[in-house]
Amino acid sequence: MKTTTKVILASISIAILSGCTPANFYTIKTPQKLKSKIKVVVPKDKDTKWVYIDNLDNFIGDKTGKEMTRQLAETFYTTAIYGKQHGYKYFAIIKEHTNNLDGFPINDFEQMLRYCNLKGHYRSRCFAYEHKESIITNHAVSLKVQYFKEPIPGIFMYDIEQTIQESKRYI
Amino acid sequence: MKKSFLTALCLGVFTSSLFADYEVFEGKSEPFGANQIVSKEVIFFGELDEYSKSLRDIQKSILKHGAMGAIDGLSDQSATLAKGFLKEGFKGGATGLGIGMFYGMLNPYIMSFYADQQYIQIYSIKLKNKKTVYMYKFLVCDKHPALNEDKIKDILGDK
Repeated sequence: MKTTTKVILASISIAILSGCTPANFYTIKTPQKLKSKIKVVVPKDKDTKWVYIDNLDNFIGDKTGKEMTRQLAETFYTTAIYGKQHGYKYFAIIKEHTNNLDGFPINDFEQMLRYCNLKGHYRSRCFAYEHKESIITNHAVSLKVQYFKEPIPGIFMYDIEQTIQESKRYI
Repeated sequence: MKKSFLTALCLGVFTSSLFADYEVFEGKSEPFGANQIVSKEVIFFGELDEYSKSLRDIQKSILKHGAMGAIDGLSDQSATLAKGFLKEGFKGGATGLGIGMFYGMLNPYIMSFYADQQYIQIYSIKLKNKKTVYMYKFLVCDKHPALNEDKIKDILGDK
């Protein structure tokens, strides 16, 4: 009993000390049925502006790139649908090498797909094992985004309606 | 036989080093038709990292001096970019961005050795309805071999 209490207290302390942000986890209903399990992570702290959209599947063993394409499409589709459901018109990716708010220009799904799949293999900046902040880590897709209601001059952002139309062609 | 194989191999290696492998991406800040364009001007040309740095400098300057004095102390390149954006009220946008804008600034040094060459050209476009919109051309090139700036300008230029 004593040991159990110690383990629980230790886990709580680790969670607090590691800077773990309390968050709400959602799965959302999308008009088009998806194969992937996708989780939306929204921090409880109202000042935090980002949202994570995590695809819980992975495409290990995907030799043709088809699986990666579908999982990217489903993750972008969910991102756009979640934004639309909350009254937004645009979103920006804020992951390290593809951060729209830091000047990364690609702002439509089809071009992003081409960028992630340059030369037919994953040598681009979308895919980096050593960076947790890349869009693809360990063969799984995870987006970190910020939503907007208006466009911002100088920042290229994804149009939510356009992203829905483009990504659903690959689902 | 052996000699001709070696010659072919050497030629292959030599020619592949002459032709850089690159792709160009294009996009708009919002949809518009070519027939709506009144004027078009390049407000930035350079490496993606320089563009990111300029955006950060503009935001810092706005926070420090306010929108009217935002150009104070900026490099020529950032000042041109700021003028292009301030026309459309970058002020409001920059304050709205908050912490998000600074997310990508810690690009690990080691990655720069492996990173592709990434160049960006930004256009400010005035439309018939008096709205200003933006367009980009983005070149990603394998660094083996790298392209020089003149060649990149040729590739990204309007023909």
